[in-house]
Amino acid sequence: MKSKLRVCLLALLLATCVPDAYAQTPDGSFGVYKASVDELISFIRSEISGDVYCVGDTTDVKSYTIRVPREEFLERAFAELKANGYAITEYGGKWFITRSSGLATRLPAGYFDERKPSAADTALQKYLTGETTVMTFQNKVYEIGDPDAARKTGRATLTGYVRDVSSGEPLAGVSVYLEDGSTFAQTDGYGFYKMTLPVGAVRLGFSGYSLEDIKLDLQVYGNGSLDVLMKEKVFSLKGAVITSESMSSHRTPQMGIEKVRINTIKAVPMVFGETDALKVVMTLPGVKSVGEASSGFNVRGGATDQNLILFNGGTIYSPNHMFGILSAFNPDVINDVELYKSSIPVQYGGRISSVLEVSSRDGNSRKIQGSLGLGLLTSRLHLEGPIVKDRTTFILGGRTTYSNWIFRLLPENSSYAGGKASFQDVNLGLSHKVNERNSIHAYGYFSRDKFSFSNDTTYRYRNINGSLKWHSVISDRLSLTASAGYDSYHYGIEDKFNDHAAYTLNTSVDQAWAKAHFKSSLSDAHTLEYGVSGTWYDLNPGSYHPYGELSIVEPADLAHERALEAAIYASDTWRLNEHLSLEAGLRWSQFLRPGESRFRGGPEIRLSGKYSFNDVTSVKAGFNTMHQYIHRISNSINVTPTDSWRLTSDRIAPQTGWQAAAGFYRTLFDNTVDISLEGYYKHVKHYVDYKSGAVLVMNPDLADDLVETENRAYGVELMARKSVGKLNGWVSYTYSRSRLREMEDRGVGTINGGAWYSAPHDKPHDVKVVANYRFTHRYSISANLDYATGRPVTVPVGRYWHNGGMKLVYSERNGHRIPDYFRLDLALIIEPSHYLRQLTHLSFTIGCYNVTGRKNPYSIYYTSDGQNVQGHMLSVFATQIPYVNFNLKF
Amino acid sequence: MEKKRRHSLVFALAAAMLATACVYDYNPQIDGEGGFMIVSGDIVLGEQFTISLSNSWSLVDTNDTSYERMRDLYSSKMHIEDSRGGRYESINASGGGMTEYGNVATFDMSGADLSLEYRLVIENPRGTYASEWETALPPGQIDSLSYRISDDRSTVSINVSSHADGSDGLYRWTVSEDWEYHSDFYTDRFFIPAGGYYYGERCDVDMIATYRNGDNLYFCWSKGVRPETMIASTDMLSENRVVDHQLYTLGCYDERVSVLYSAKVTQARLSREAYDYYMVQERNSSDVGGLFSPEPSELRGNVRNLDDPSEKVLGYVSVLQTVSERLFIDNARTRFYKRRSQPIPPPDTLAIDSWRMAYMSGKLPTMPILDPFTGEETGYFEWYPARCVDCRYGSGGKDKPDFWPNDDI
Repeated sequence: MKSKLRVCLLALLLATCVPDAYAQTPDGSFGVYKASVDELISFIRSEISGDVYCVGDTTDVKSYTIRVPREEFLERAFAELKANGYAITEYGGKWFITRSSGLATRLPAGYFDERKPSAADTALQKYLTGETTVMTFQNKVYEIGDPDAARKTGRATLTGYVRDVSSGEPLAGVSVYLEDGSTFAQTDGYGFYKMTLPVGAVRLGFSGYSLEDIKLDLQVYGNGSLDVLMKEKVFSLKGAVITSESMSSHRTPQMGIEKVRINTIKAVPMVFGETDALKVVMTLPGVKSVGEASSGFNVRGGATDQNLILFNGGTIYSPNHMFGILSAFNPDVINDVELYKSSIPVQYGGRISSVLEVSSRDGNSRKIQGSLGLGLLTSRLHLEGPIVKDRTTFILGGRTTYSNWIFRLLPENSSYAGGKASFQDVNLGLSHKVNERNSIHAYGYFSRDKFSFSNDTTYRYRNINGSLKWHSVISDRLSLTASAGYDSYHYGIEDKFNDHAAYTLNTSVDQAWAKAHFKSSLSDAHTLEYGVSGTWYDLNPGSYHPYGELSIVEPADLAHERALEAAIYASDTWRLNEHLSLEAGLRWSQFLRPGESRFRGGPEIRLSGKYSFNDVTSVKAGFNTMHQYIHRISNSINVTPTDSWRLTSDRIAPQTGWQAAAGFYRTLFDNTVDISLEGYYKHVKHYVDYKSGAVLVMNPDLADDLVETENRAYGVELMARKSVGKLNGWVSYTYSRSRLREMEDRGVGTINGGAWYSAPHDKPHDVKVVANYRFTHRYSISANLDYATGRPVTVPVGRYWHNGGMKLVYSERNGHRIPDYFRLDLALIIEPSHYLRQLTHLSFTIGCYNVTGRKNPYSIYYTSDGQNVQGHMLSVFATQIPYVNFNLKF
Repeated sequence: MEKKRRHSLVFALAAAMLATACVYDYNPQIDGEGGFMIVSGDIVLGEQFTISLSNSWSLVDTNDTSYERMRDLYSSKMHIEDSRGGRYESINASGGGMTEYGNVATFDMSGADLSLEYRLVIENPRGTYASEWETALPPGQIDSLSYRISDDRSTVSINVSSHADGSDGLYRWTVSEDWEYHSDFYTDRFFIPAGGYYYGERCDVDMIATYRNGDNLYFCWSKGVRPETMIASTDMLSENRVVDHQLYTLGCYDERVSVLYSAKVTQARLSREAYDYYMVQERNSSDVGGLFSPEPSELRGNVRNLDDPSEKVLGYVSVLQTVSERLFIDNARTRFYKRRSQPIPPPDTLAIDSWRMAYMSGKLPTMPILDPFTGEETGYFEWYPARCVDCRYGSGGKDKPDFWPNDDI
């Protein structure tokens, strides 16, 4: 704003406002004759007692002739100026004459927000922030296309990028919509949007979470592009109404999509105060986990291996550190997480339940920034900035830990006591804007974990991901995202408990993948997406080798499993009219193992439809089918790094499943509260379970020890979400069931006698509240509440004396439930300064995890000391965990 | 209007870190199923052995087995068959005998043909039960038994090294243990109330007399069977050999290692099915409840009700040959044992008129109080609770095993 004032004053100094062509004529009329604009303004200045400020415009060669009675002169002069594109504002006896169109080409659209001026705002502030009607750039008309080649009717395609005004980062997930609601688009991960508009005058809205809304007037002549810069909402002012997230459910036929941005993630109190994206995902309805300290999650009754976890496109097989206390995603570099739990976009496949897309930010394109963090468990370093300003940026983040101290606090039976753990992770992102239509992105990720529960056994695992993406706008109606990458997950154990039997065991999953994804706007009614993808898997199911000189272990290597999973897909989003949209997609996936001629694969259907009764009420329904060719083999309910992955083979069938879902969506209270009710039914076949006594490690005939189960899950999810205002957050209630049954009756030994039994994450009732209340700009509190029915566990039904010891009888699987889970976390966040130009900002968070100190059980189990049987309950975080975090922003 | 990114120099402090996790005792009321038939024991060729039948109990109650179940259990008759049609009856008169836990039959297979298949057959009103036919594998060799004290001297492990011919390297060991321990206070005196006898002589008055021939209530012997399931596999090794395989550990406060400890390790080789059975049994009973523990799973043995195959019967009856070795751990050499400081009440120093009262209240005399000047007995004795003086109040008694290698009495 100051800069604009300077422009104005500078213009005033330079203006040669010499009044040489004016007169008071004998007939009493008064005026100027063929005066330049500067002369006219000088004349005006002489006629007005107050100061007149103007912006000179050397391109204005028009001459002004005004001849009116003196008392009408000013009115007439202003009318002339206005007619020639000038704006005139009066404040406190001062007059400001500016030419908006001259500035508009230089400053970004939407630089200024559209908030309603509050009573406290002075007129000067209004002027300086450009909020008066004449000065608002949002009220400027932007011309799209070539006016000379203007079409009279029909539609035109508008494309462009939406970026952050200060950092130049692309903004993903911004809603772009016609004000009448007839057309809607959303920016992708590159901030790119594309939509078809009717030719003529239209009003286009842009809104995104925690961004100030923008409304632009467009005069559409033909195809064109418009880049838009948006700015983050400043909380000190009465907020703009943020409608994107709440309204988006009424615009897309897809359902069951949850998106959480990093600033929301950071506001949710978490154990030890460590910001954790995956733990926030677990606060969403329909997502459950078996307990605390578990990064495996279950979406709508599905198993933990049925989630495809993508980090910048690469698959993460072990998305956690320290066996689940922390997730593997560094909060400094991630932008948002998006979970698809029902309508899985046709470009994704290969997992039955869900897709979790974690994307990292692009680096700041304007200046070098960084941060250094010191937490209870981790320390972090992050740097970002331009390599070539506004073209090439980088972002680099790393974390490490010094958490061994925590293990001394943990109980013996938690498998943690006496343990040691360390991890490191590094993220690198590079992005390069080749030109307006092409950008290239490169991502690298490396994480390494090492832990031990005793001196004799050490576990290690690591993830390596690298990928390259090319995003290209081929034409106004067609864009392409091509990407390729390499993902690697390696896991190993060193066991030297007995020198003579000491061994190392290594398993790994390596995969190389490539994808090409096209998005095409056939017409304003049809948006077509299509593409191909392929993944080459190379799994090492186990290498067992001697460790040390004395070991007599026989080296053994199981044969690698290799396969190609290829898919071709297409989908069409068809907007029949402003009420009804349909999306239909077909994905054909094919799984080929070298040396096997057997055909595996088939079509996957993705269908969804939306009917909007009006702007705030919609219903949707969806149906999809999925295939999964890679399976996690585990005999523990938690996701452990020791789980091994196996591919579909002659003996292990692909998992197949379908889900049908329907939902009702309504936005209430002036677009501030969004309520949704979704119900689903899901059926999965060929889910891999294991037989009693199965040997899962180094078993060349593993398939003999596995059984196939079917899973049926159903539930309803009720959610109210408020993204705006002092109080924001969400409240959800879920009722859901997930039951398993062995597909084949093997007679004696069939799990649960062949009857349905509860999945380990079958927790029917579930209430989750995530809320943030901002008292003032500086003080806010966050609360996180989690209630769930206790999870099912297998408990002994009896005990017996056998060969000198007391043993336990287990029968029905998951037949008992542990006590219900309840936890409340609170955090007070104090932002000490709201002066935006201050270089550093010190804020701090005081929080407490598990405020009520409830001893939430993780498991109950029984041990026998040979003579007696004793029941135990293990509670991982059995008390309040207070923390204080200091955050220095710069 | 510059946007401030929320990148942070984060200092996180633990305001007050408390222990975060805990394991609690927890005993929910679980409706259990009692009454599965449990078969415990193996057919050991060349030896005398027992096989016992019992019922399982629910977790909460030991007396919940139905009358019919108990009747079936106690009326069960056991015998062993071989693959040539031979039949071996129990050497108990009734084909089984009642014990605290159920029905126990003793067999003597001293002369059994090692090459045949054998099985156990049980007959009761509910049906005829039989174990799967099995042959016995040669037990292999125990090369050595050893013990190793941990670096922090908190535990001692008992280790075995063994080998066998052939490639089947699935071993199981069972251990019967004997140990000598002593009471807190040594004394060569004992109280004889009036009317009692001193080596056959009647005493008319209360007296404290001296033992003859080194008799004492100081040294006792106890015995037991290790409850651990001790199995090992050489599947992943290049030789059919285990070296220094840890069988179990004893803590430094364990009474077993306080004086002299003996473990008789009996080795047998298992069939693959039996090995898998014990593996799951062990996992179900000990390795549960942790964050990464495998889920417990249902277990069935190799005994079936031939008339109703769906009936759940637990237990695995293997056909075995065994070999045994014995190990001693002498605390005089290892100095491993640490006495747990137990609250011992201060002694009562009593003259003769108080002895009977002390004796009646469960105390025993130890050594006499001596005059500090003359060194002569004053007639006063220090009396301690009997559990501190008489070792028989502990786990064992005065039955010294025949093989015991020291001279303690």
